Amino acid sequence: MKNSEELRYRIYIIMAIMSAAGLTLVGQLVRWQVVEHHRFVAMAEAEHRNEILIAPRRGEIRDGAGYLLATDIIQYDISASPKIISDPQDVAQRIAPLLDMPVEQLAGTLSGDEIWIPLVKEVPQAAGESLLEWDIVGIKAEARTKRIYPEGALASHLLGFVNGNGYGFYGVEGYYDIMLRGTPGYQKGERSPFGELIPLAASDLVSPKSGPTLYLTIDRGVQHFIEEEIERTVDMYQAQRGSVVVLQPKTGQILGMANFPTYDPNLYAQTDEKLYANPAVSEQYEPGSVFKIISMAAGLDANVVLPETMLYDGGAIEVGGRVIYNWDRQSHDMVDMTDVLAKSLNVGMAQIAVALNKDRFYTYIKRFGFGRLTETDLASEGPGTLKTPKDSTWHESDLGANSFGQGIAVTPLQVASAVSAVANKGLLMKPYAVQRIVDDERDIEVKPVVIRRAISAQTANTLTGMLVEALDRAESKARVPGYRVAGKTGTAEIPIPGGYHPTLTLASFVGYLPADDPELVILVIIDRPTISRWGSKTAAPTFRRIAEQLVVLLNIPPDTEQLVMND
Amino acid sequence: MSTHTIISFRPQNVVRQLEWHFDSKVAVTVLPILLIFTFLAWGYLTQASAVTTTTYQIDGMRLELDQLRNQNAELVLEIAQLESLSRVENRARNLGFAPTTQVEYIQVETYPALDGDDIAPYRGSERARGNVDTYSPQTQTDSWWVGVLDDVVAWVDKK
Repeated sequence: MKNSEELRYRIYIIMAIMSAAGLTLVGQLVRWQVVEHHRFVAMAEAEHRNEILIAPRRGEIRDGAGYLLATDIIQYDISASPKIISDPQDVAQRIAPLLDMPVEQLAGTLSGDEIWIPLVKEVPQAAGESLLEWDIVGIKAEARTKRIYPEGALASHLLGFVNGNGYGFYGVEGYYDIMLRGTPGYQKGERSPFGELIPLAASDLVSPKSGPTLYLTIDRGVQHFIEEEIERTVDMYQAQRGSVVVLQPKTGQILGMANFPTYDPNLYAQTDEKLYANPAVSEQYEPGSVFKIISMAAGLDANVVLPETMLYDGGAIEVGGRVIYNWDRQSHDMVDMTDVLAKSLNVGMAQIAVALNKDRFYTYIKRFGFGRLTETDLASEGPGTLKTPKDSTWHESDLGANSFGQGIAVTPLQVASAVSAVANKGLLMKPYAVQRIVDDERDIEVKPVVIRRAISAQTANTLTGMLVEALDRAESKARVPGYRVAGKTGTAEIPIPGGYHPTLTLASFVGYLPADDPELVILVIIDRPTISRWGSKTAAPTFRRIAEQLVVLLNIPPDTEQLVMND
Repeated sequence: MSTHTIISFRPQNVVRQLEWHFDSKVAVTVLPILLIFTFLAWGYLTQASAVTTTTYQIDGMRLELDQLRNQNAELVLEIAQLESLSRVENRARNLGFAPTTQVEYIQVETYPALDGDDIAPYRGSERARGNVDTYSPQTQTDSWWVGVLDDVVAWVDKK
């Protein structure tokens, strides 16, 4: 009996074990065939199917007239597997001329027993294709695209660059990177044991779609000239850096944007990284007296002052506990508003800002686009820094300082854009660098965008007249013979911890012409000039030189001819 | 003495060793089937061969197209490098040209007035690439010549 029970007990145990094993097996089968069916099917397919990605061509970049500024070319990286090369001497003799290497040196390299070694990088397309055609065992030619900028350093800050992995950085390359890259294609199908697609087997082919061609708003002639001029200017005044921004005020088109020092995007890898960013859109600075255009626009538009309003300038004024002085520390007695601009009087501007009151003053500043991005189509744009009464760090004295461009940080593009609004009858336009986007299917023309009305057309006209008159009264060196020019100089002290640098300045001039029907807004910034620290003696003559040449290049007739044409 | 049965596996011997019954009905049925299968097999192989050949040809042509596109891009680049501003400027300076400094606008009193539509916009670079029709100021030349001829005729008449 005991044996029988023991036997039954053992049978139960064996049955239980076998049932458990069976259930586990069934469970696994359910998992493989039902739950994770797709994963295993994909794994099985991956064993015998192949997907080859086909890289698209990156879109070209051209200037407004169609001249090529950036394109892709194919180059080859050549490598070798010396271990499987049977006759290194013969192979070396064949390929050495293509690789531009001495035969003996190459033969020595190929005679080793390494599994793989790189030979030469960036071999020209024709040489790479010859190697592919010869199909030499042990020699591999791998194609890769390289971005080329045929004009070298021209418009480098505006263009940006593309790195070795095909990603665009800065400028247009950075902003339109995803669009320019295009859409990759692929070829899927069954593969042979050697990894190649089997021709007879079912396969899918989706062709790659190249990136579109971008046509910029700049003209390469204008760009070339302003680049030469800013380099010459930095050298002439022994400054550290310089920038020029040229805008079409009616549309917001960027006609030119130059900085010095600059770099060649073909050689970006050998360039100091500090030079990559475009100072004209990403670096902020205290604008100084050119900002008086904005403060005066606010005062006129709010009817706080009229051009003929007289103010007493005692040489100093206290705003929020801080005493503000004129640049010459002199009293100018009774002055009208044009004198305030012509003599660049800080005291007069502070009085206007106080009369406006803080709320209206900062509303106008924001209307001109300060303290926020202009939303231009260039990567790495900076918003500047604007403290308003809502900020905890704002102080009553900031109202006075901001009125003449101190205690506020702006980008050059913001200043050019804001002054364009005055030139454009009060309408603030969005600055842009790409005017057409063209690919196989579409041709998109980028339309100008009005951001908002900053001031009334009447105020803009009045201010333009005052700015022209102010240049005449100051006998400015920015005046261009034959053209009425509106503009303002600026000499900003450079902020350092605890105050301002005692001698170094940032000299600038912003102006537009012809004043009655503006076609150009030009901003010139010279950082730390040492020959003279004043904007009137450095930036203003540079503005004139640039304007004199641009009216010729862009075929802008003088005022007298304009009148005849209009009649 | 032992007896040995030798079986030959040569086809002719096998056929000889089998009892051979030639059934005409079977032959009539099997032969067309064989012919159909043969034809289908031949058709399949021909098609497969053609598809494979065409696939290779397409791949080859695609590669050739890519290479031509790349060569074209390289030529475009070469053109761009040859007409780059720094190079053109150097050449121009070597040839004795200088930048324009001052443009003097002159009024031509006898210049015929043209409708705005008749004046072609400046599209020099596009025209150079053959993207736009060449503008021919035929009307202006005709009018000018007609004017000159009229003046000459009037002068002769006066004489």
